[in-house]
Amino acid sequence: MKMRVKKRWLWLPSLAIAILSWELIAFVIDEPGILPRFSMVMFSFYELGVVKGYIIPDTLMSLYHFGIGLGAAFCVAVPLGIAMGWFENVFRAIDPIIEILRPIPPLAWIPLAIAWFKLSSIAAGFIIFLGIFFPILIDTYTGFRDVPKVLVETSKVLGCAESKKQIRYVAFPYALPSIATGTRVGMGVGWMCVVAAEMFGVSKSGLGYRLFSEFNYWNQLDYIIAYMLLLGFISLCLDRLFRYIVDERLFRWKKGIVK
Amino acid sequence: MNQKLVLSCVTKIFNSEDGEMKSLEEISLNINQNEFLCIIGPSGCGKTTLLRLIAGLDFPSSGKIILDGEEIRSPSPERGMIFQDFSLFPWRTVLRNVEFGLEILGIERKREVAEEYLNLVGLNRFKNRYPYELSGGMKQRVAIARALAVNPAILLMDEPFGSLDAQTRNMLQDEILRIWGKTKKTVVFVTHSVDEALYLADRVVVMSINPGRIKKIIDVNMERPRERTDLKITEKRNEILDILSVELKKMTDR
Repeated sequence: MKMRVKKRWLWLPSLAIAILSWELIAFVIDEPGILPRFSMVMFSFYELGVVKGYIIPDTLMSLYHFGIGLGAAFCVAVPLGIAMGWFENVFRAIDPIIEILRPIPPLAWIPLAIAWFKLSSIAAGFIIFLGIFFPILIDTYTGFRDVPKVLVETSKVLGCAESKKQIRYVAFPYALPSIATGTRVGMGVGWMCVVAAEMFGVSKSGLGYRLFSEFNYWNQLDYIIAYMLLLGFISLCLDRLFRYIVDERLFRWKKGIVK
Repeated sequence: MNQKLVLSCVTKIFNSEDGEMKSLEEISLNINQNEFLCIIGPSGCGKTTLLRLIAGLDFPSSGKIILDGEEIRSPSPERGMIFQDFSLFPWRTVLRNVEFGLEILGIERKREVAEEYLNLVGLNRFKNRYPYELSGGMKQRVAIARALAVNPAILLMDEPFGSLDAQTRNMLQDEILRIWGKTKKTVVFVTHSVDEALYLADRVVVMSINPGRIKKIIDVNMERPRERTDLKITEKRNEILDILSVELKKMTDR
């Protein structure tokens, strides 16, 4: 029991050491244009959040863009992944296209995003969509391709005559943890695209917009670092929330396999 | 005779990259209503293939398989199958696994029926467990309950106890005999264990290899429960083992 408590808080001393070293190094350098002190960054949070009132609207705007990207990616990638994972021919037909598009960085799509969607939230959502789409797609079809043959045959013998039923009753539940993993990885990649998606000015708020359009690079490094930390922190919260909802509730049956 | 399942001149050829492979050749066999039939043979003799053909999971290259006067063309809940690999759906509890077929068929009283069959295999206490929480023997009992729940005319078992330890195996052999006696199913049971076949079957079909053919059908014709060390069983065991050793030699000589 004692051991477990200790393990649980293991992150605390390392975090404290990191912060203290940062503070100390910045203090010695004494050049906020190169590395502002941690305490300065913390004070910036206060200024940006309370005095200027940026943080909450910026976060909400970014979550809105992220939500568009995530929703669209999930709705397109899951059905496509199911088709690719279940029907060998669909996989053969589409996989090369996917593999050409996949390595293109979402950043490179910005001109097209603007051309197609103008300076709108949809354009930002599209960039984020590109980050989330491929991990979900790949993990979905991998999950479907891994479905053990014996389970499908069992379902056939028990009355699942058509593909539709086999997918619904066997392949989909089997692949669900894999789809969830893809979604989780995709969410991480997608969040990294938020800054790129907002830096070309689709909105007058948003974490990425603020970071690039309003802060002065040289004099306001403390603001910039504050927003960087904010980006990281929000992503951490999203990930924890996702894991809490998905792993604990949906996948109790997986415990024996994973742990 | 009361013929339940008729196989006439069933041949199965698999096309692989090295050309054609004849798995089964001209298998003709009548299986009676309520019979317990075991199929035994060296690995690769096509005994699993034969079972899959009866299940409708594969199709004969030529010949016919007829159940109750109708030719088999696709899988159906009429023919329950127990696989060697544990084939429970891991995301479903024991009860929901047994309910599976009933759910697909849209049967309303699925819970009651499922519980009835869980009682039959003695696992009702574990109905809310997930498969990962069960031992191998328990998993196979759930699979048996699941197959029986849709009330098939015939039960196909593909080395169902092959991956279990000897004690569990003996126990489940008694269990399957008890269930068979109670439910009056026709059972086709594939095994590689001569002892298992002689303990369970009314008739034992011994197969040869390359291509898979019926070498001999042995009538066991003994009262149950049988004594595993009975003299008559020993005689028949030697007979089967002799045939099998010839077959094995054929394989190693090649």
